[in-house]
Amino acid sequence: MNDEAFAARVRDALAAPTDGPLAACFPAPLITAIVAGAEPHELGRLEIALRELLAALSAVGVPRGRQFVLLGSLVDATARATAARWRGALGVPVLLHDPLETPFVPGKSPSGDPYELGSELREAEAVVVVGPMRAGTDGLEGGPGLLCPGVVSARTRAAWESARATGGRAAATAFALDVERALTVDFALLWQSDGSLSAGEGRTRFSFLSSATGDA
Amino acid sequence: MAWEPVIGLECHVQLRTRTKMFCGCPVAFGSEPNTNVCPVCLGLPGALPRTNAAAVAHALRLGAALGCRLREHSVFARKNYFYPDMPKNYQVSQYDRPLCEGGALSVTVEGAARAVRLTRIHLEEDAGKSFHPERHGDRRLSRVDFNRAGVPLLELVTEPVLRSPEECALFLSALRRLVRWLGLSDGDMEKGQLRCDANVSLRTPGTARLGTKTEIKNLNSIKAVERGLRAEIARQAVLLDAGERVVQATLLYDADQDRLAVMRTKEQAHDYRYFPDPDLPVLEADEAARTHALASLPELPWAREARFRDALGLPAYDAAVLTESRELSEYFEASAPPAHAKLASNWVMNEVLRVLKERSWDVGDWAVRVPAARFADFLGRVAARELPGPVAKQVFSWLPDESGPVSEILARHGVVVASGDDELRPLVRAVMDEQPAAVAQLLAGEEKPFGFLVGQAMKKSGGQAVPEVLRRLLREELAARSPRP
Repeated sequence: MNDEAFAARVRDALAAPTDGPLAACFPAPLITAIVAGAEPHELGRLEIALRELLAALSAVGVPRGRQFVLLGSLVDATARATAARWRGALGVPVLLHDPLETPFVPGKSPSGDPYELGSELREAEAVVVVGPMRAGTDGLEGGPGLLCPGVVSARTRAAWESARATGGRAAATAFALDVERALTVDFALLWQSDGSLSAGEGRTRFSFLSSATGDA
Repeated sequence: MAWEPVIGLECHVQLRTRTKMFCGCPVAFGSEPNTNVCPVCLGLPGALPRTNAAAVAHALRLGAALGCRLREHSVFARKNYFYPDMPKNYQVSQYDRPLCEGGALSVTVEGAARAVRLTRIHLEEDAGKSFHPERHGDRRLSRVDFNRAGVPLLELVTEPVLRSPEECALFLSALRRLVRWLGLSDGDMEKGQLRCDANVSLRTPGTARLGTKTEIKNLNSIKAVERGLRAEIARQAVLLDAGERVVQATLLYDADQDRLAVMRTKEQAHDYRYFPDPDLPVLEADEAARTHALASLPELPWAREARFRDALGLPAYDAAVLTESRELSEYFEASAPPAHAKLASNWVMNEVLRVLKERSWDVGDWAVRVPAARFADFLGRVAARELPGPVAKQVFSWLPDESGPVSEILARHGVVVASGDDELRPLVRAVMDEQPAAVAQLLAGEEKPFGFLVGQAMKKSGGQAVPEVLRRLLREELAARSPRP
């Protein structure tokens, strides 16, 4: 699928999200954190998705001055270069998540351990997740993973890795979904490798996809 | 002497926003004390507030849902008082120009709908939380956590139109359902997300003049509202019967002791020296914002309840239970097979809700494991009598723990539903041969053994036969064996 066809699909998905209109998710000009991430070979699609999303948010009354992009997962040189380029191209602040910064704790695990996320999310009034996801037989790649381990602290990442080492990808997915429950993702725009898109309320989209693996 | 209670409620709803009412601090519960604070919510000199747009949108939606007049221009005012959990020494609230005025919330009292008129709905900020007194060695200390200071609150005030503690409980239940339905708040009274103060006075029935009122605070459950009001009504009645006067006061209700204690004699509004907050601009809700608030409302719970009753033909009780939460009602609608609403209602109310309670799940937890389409498939098979009672219950028990369509689950467990005449007729004949006495009674015109024989045949099939087919085949076999006239 070429870029134009992908952009058209993104526009269609944003025009009619699965769980109700975009305007219902953003009833006011909320300060909106857009958590994004992708492997280097997916960055082209991510940029297209971000452009369309920023425009759609502006159209429902969230001005660009209240939107910012937080790039997670990729903290290597590619990401830094990408962030620098997108800062100019997208017209909104593009931040790189730093897992060693003082974190923000939106909630705790059932055992009482804090879920630590990037402090960039501390003052966000709405959280959107954008990126690819793949539902395998043993859990998810991407999707809630954009949030955890994408933009969590080093300490929470270590806890997530421990869950993955013990219980495999299914346990890692469950951990990420639990982090999402603490933070709550208002809206998710996700795509699979074949270009099929899913847009809607965050938890519903993640849960739907994770239940498709049979691991939820 | 008989007295008529006159009750008005002031309900505080903690709004579900990510950030506080006038600053960017997160609204996150369970954080370490005093970590979600900043110069604005701590009232440090020079810090300037800004209004949370999401909280305003929530307030407008609630106002629109309740038919309030939404003010184009409303004003935040400072309510001045000193208390250690109020770092600014004033609370930002709304006074003479609230965001919403009028409106009503309907409750069903003894089967009849009754509109409880509202005075106003306004926005304000919460105070911090005091913990006191605590013993530290030989000292007793109070501590304050400011994480809650500045959290957005909606205050909803009713007219003094409620007449009994039971009506107040119904009103609060209806309000809780509505704020949850609209996604404004979790409305959990035990967690302080929905709090209620009650103003109560007594008067002679048939008179219009109101008596001296008292205000009861600290009512943190619907049961506490009922019990606290009952206690205060009884206390005032004793005073008035003895010819004494009720003194205007604020009372605290201790739910553990079921006891009221005077907290302070009541202040008047002018004691708070309200004045417009000079740091906050007039709150503007223009035509577009008000129209959007109205347009963004989903089908409201009372409308859906009526539709379930009138269009789907469900009993009033079923309609009320299924619309207790928006998620449950949507799940029910998405999974109910056409023309089998009552069957679907029975399964959701009896079985799904039982599982949710047993496993401490919410509807979302269930729907993730049993998406509505999958449950609709199951219910469709039950409605078509492809899954007889005992088999259906067994299959249902597998649904939340196993993946895949119902057909796969049936195949995985080797569930074979017997519905064909060829496989069931020999079974019916065998039962008849084994139970000659029962057959003789039936042939003699008694009906009683019929159910027994059907039960025996069902048992022989291992619970997998369709009962309707068994009944039909048994009738046919009896007819074949009956002596011809």
